[in-house]
Amino acid sequence: MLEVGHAVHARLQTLGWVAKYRRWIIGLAAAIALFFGVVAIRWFVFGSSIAFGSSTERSIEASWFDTIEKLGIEPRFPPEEDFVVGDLLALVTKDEDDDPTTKNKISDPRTVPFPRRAVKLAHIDVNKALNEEYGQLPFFPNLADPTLSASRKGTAAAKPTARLTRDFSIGVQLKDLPLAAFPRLKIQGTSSASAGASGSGFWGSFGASNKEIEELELGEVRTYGLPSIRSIELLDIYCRNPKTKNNCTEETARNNLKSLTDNRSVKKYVIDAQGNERYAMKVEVVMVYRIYLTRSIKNLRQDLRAQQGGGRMTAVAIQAEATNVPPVQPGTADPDAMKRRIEDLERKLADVQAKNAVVAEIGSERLSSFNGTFDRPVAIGFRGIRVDFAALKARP
Amino acid sequence: MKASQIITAVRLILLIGLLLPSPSLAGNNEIVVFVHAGPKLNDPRIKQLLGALFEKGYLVRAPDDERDISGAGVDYFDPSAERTAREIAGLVNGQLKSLGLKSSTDMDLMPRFQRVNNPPTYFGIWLFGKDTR
Repeated sequence: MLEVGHAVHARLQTLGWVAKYRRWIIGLAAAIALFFGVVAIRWFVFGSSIAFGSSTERSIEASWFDTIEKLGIEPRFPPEEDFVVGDLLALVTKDEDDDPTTKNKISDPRTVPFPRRAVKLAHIDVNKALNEEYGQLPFFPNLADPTLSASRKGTAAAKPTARLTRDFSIGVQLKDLPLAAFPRLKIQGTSSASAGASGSGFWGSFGASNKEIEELELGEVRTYGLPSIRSIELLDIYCRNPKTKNNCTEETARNNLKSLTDNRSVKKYVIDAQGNERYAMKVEVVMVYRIYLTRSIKNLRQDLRAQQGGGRMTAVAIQAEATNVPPVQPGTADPDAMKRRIEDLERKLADVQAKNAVVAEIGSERLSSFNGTFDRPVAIGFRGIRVDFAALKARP
Repeated sequence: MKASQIITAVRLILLIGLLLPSPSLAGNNEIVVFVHAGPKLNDPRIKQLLGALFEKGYLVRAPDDERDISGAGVDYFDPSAERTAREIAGLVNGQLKSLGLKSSTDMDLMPRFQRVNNPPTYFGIWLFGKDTR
């Protein structure tokens, strides 16, 4: 009986404590709910970036690499004219240096500018092979050629003079190289969300909106190269030739990458309790067998963000709203969509801009662009074959 | 506002502070050791010594064949790193003896401060002096 009395007393005490501090408890619960609400909206709109500082901005290199890789070729950034079929390159493909004091670590070789992770070791003369290969291929006259138009109209003995000149020993004009019809790539996404919460004597709201545009336009892309089998044969001959075979070795590649990597290309670490070692970087020797060229590049990346929040004391209202606007499909994007969404957020928060109210707005716009037209074509990407170091070592 | 309310507010703030993640402490995996194996670079027992350092969590650079004219020792480059240098020296001395790389009459490796502009997490282990063959 006494125990029951104690339990009832304790429960009454707890209820009394809750009643006494009910404003604190409600306030704390509201603050926690508000915090998680804001984090949830930011996560929903800005993806995994829930930090309140500025998010990591993607570099133009990363944007370029992602876009070019979608076309199935290895990106070459920055684009360069002095990059041709037959080039023998030493490339860093992985940086596994765990030394925390390391400077210029190549965390993601894909997104590092090419000159920071690659050197040209040598050039294999492939002009004869290119002439032979393209000499066997059918070609189609230029339909836009005026002499052909005259011929079609039956003008006096006009014959097609549009001829492809593909002699790689003396030089080939860009117009005579095979066309590669690269699509104009445009990736666009928009999202926005807002929410409000209220309690006795308090009303608060938070909204966020995000729009990302990524656009890559390559004007008149041309390509040339060797078939894979022919290029493997040529590389094999080169790597067997006593005069040039050292150019294909891992040791040569590492030594030539030393100046680019602060000697880390030849650095080794112990990797197990048996004292075995491994290089801090993985490298490859690659022969370029196909190149993609262009004379005009336009790359644009735009990131527009807006956040707005507010709070008001004394109002009593209940409101909760969340909207999810699906990404706008490429080609149907409305350029004013972002503006309208921000206006929408402003309307939703208009109530807050009253007496005893606080409103905060944050907006940001990031823009990275690469835009150029060149006198001569530059390489934007390539395909290459790798030297098999293990097979090379095993040769007698 | 009453004093009890202030205390309650402070307690709540402290409670939230406890729930936040605390920064992690740096460990052995941030310590880089450079082993100079001198004339015994190709001795298989050197690999065992390197393996022992690796097992302790140090980041162990592949050894070279250099020798120090001022004798064997463990170099450190920041006064705050002396304790770690002493630990490394103890471990290496034990290994050198157990692997038979040094006789009981050889001097033990001692920590020695070097005024060189190297990171404080770097340590140079000179296993042998100039006269070692």
